Amino acid sequence: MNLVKPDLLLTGLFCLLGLLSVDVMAHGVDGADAAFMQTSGAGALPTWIYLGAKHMVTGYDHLLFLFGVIFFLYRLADVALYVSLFALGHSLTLLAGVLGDIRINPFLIDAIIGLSIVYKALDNLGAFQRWFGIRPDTRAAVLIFGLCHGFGLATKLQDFSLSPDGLIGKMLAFNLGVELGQLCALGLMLVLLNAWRAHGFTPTQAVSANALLMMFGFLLTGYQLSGFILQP
Amino acid sequence: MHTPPDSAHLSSQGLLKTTLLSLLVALLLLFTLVLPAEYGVDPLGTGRLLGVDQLQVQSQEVDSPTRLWRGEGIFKSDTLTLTLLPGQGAELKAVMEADAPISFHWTSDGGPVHVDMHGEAENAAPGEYTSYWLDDARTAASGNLRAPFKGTHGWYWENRGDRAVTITLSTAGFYRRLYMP
Repeated sequence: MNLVKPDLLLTGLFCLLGLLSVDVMAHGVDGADAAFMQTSGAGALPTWIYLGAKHMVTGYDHLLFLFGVIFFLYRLADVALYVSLFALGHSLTLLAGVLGDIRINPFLIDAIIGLSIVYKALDNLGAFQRWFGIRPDTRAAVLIFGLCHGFGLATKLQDFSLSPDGLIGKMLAFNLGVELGQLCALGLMLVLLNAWRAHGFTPTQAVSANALLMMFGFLLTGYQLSGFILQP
Repeated sequence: MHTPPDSAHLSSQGLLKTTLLSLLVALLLLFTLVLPAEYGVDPLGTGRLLGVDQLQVQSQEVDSPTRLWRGEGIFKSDTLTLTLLPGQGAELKAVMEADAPISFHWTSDGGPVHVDMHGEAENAAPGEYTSYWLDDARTAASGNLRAPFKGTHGWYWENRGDRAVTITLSTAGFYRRLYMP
């Protein structure tokens, strides 16, 4: 008999993610980090890498989406492929958004990110096949939602009047940090997922996990849409 | 070779139930906890009941005094003087955007004056203004104003004494120009 029940493990993971994010990332970047971002010149690239990594590790929306993406991936090559597609997507729009000063309402983009989690949970539940008879190409979907997630990262940086001094270098460093943070988070998720699979991964548990994921997706979407409506 | 599944398989009914349940739980959490805690909107009164709305009240209290105002206009400073004969009144005004700050210090050399520090909104009707600081006999005053609206903000001094006085006003802050109407 297992000491830790897999569904408890999963619940624990979600709670951990929730706790991490509560005070760190409500919607963007906290005080000291923000002050650094606004005053930093061309130097201090390691700090930008660190901030990128911190942003990813504490950004529960990105993490939940990634969790949904890797939920049914067993081969490392598949994990690498999907995560690369996601990284490619969000790198492109993070850089294009900040450097090209493309501004999208952060509440709307975060609502789309919430919907991306709903999409992936439904996809994992086989909903598209069942409802529409076809399943959208998951690679394309991951790339497209990667683009949305990148705009989400960009809008958070654009809240600050970033010094244009060495901006490309700083953004590349931040982006590198995002990828490194993503790898760390992914590593942890894979360890937990594999432990769960090794202990037997019942269809019921898979359904519950994705239902919970979908619920978080809906909740995030509702949270952000309310913000869009309520905050001027 | 056995291929692991790439999605969970549910009956149509099970799928629909799962989706609706997820949506329902999300809406329930949204309206009972998230809206009251994050935005201070409490349609069901649960935020008050559970006390999560305190988060909202506290964050407003903590945020407002330390809130940074980021200057987008030009930072200016001026010193102007004007002489008021007995019975004479005059105004100096700064043209400002809403929320812009201005720091000021003025002195009256020769005797106390009546002062009305006030502002006129950009499209205000003639004679319509808001007083910030009224005083009948002052020889100096200083402070800081965050313009409550876009328009002109300034001082009206009146010499109610029997000798001429000289007013010297120094300002610094974010305003377009300081002028005498």
